[in-house]
Amino acid sequence: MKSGAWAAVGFACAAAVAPARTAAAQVAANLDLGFTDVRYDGFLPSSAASVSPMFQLQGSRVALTTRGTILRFESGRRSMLVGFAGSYFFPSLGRLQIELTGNAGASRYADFASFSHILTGPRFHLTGDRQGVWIGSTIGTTSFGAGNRAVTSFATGAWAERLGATWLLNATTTKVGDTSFVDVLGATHYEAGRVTLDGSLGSRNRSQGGGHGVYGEVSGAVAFGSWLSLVLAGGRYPTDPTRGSVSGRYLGLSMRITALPRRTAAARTARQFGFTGHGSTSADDPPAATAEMVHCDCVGGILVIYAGNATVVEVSGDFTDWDPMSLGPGDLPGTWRVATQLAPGTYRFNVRLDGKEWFVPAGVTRLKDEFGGEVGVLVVP
Amino acid sequence: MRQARWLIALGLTATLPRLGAAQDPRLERRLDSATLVALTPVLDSARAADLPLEPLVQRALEGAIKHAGAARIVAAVRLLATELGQARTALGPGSTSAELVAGASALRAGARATDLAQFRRRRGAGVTVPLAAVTDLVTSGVPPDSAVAAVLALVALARDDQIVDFRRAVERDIALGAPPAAAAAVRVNAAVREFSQNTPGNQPRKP
Repeated sequence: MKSGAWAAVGFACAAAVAPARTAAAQVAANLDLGFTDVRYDGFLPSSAASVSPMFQLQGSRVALTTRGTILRFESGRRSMLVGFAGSYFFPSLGRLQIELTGNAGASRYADFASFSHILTGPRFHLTGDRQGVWIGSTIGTTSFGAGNRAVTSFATGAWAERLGATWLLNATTTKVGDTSFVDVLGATHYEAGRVTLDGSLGSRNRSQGGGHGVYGEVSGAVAFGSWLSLVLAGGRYPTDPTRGSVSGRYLGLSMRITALPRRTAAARTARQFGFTGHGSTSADDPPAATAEMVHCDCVGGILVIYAGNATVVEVSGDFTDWDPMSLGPGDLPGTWRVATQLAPGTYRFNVRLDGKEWFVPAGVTRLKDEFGGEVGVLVVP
Repeated sequence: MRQARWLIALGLTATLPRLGAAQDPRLERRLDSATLVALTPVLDSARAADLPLEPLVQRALEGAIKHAGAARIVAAVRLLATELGQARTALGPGSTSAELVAGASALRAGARATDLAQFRRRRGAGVTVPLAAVTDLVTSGVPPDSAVAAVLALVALARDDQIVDFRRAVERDIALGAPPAAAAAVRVNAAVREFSQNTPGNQPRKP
């Protein structure tokens, strides 16, 4: 799963610095439940039940991801792994963006093998419209029992959006104590409708104590509605002396329960734009409500309000003659939609949650109105 | 008899403002009588100038739901009427109500009347979204002249949805720390290149 981790890092980089159309979550939470057939090098094959929660938050400058995996093997032994990754993006200098990364985690197998690590380092991105390159370094420490080993790594990579997919290529040289190796990895990520495909292929070279060879992973996910997906994944991954995993092969089938669905472009963009919305104290606090125009099989569009914590959502604007209109539930949990389609044009409106004061949701242009408050302006192309 | 005529005339005079405002039942239902009386001459003037009344009515209704006082509502409607008139002068007499509203917002954001006229010349019909994009960019911190220049560069090449995408890209760059004017300039250069390549006249043709 090492290559998957590197691919995830790469795609996170691409998502963070790419234009708004790149798939990146605002807030997302998943729980994967499944069965895996694993063949660790040096061990007999075994089946395992797996539980993997994941939570991801992306603010205008901060991205946080935490994920964990618990495996229960046929022998009754358990393996646990938890990791936290965070990034802070400094204000860009033209096309240059500087990211400060942090990574910490721990793993434990049965009662006798436990690892922990903490890493940090800068990464420098040079981004274009649909491609980018980066270079970065990491320093830190990993511990196995009582012994600590220094970790240093240097990485460089490039990503691009081509043929409807995101492509990634990177090279990383890593030194963990006396162990050192160079990984070269290519990966791709593709989304089309209900299907998401990921693939990676890498090789470990110039290794001293880290193993050699080619490795790669493939995974496919098919969504059944907004909160349930079926995920099939398999492949081979190399030893990770930082996180304490031995190389092996696996094939797993899991059910992914999406507790917080990913939000689509406008809502995500609104978050990244720093529209704090009602009740927010900073750009990194989630807005209480976000507005988004969604396409329909009609001229114009449908206004959808994301307000997960509200029980009553009302909208008032040019399209309601400024009469409060209660919204009905949308297709996704926490969404509310205006029943009428909006013809192309510009509209002024405000939103009210649970009968409180009117405000401007995130995701639309916020203007001062002539009445001492603010009004949202929505453009329907 | 003369006294009766005067009484009738006075009665008509007293009810005229109310009748004028009452022509739109939404206003009568939502505004108090003092606001209605004060608003009627503004609406009548707009009607006489052949300006669209619906945006003015909506602005008054917005003030009502926000519990604004009569003076504030009337001032807001009067200001909008003035801006709609300026927008129509710049965009031309055949402009739609939506175009005038977008033009009024752009003017308020800092665009000049001559800028609006350029949008009309380059785009022809359908300048609502480009003008709204100017307002959005200015709201995001792009200087008005830069915002106008950026959208003007795209207006003949890009569809409305592409202009919306352009605006979002600029806003995202700004959120990531780019200076607003630089973000607009970088994005517009890229967009012009992309849209120019996609223009049918620039695509390879069969012999």
